[in-house]
Amino acid sequence: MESVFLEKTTETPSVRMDVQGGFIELEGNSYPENAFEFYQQIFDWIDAYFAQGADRIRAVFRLNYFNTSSAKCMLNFMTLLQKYHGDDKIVTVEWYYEEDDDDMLEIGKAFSVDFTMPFQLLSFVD
Amino acid sequence: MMVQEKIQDNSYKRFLAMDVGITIVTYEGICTHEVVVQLGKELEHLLAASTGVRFKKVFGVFIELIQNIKNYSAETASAQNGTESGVGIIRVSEESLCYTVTAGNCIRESEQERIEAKCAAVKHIPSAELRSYFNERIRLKQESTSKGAGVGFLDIAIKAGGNWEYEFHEVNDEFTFFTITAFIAKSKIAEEDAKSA
Repeated sequence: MESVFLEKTTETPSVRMDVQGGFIELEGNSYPENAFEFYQQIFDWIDAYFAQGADRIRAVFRLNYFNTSSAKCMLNFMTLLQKYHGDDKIVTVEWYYEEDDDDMLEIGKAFSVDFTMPFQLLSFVD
Repeated sequence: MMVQEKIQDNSYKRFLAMDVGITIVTYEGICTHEVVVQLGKELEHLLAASTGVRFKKVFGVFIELIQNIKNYSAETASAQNGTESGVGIIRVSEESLCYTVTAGNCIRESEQERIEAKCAAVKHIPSAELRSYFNERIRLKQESTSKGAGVGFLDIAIKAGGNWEYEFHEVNDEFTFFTITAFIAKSKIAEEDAKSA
């Protein structure tokens, strides 16, 4: 599997799936016309990545804003990552939120409580 | 058809007559995905510098409401590329202590009861508990009527700190005009004041 990069648009985040580096990173806004379709391609990459024998992934979320359909997709994203986290594989999540952005912080907090994989909440100043 | 359009015209007039402060953006018409993105950009340009992190709340409510019009308005039109999108009206305005986002569109009269019950249920939740309801609801399977996550009203209520309203006005036997207004305080302190008022 080769690394993949999706350019950022006004309403979709950039997505970097780095196979050699063992990480996936999303950055930007997320309110696509069809969030479920947009995220499905990313979920397929992750499945393919682990299918070829990878034993770890670092998932980095640097999102500025996402709508409720994308929030549902984030939940599906975490569920998928959690599925791979176990005895022989390591998944770590880094969830960034802008300082004072309580909406982004709180949704990340809820995920960090729900899932057992290592989950870091990290603030940044814009 | 003419009659219906004329009544709807009154709905839009009443909408525009609402006293919600100084207008920043008003849009009336077909809400295609392109319109959503373009207006979002304009809003970002007009507001982002002055409001910092509070802007995200205004922006978030705006996107949620305009995507609601696009996906659920009973009045639709076809865009240039042939796809059908909802028609409605949306406005962002400013008062001294808050931003207001108001959206209006036609719904089928037969849908009013369901939507009203949904709004009333969210309205009933104390604002401190909105987030835990959101987290609970988003983990449930979607309703068949929903094209999104089915938590739009909750998200709007959270971003407005519980300070939001809804209205229904009869258009005719078939249609009702549905309006949502969310008030987003310009600061956390103003939000707390609005809650205790």
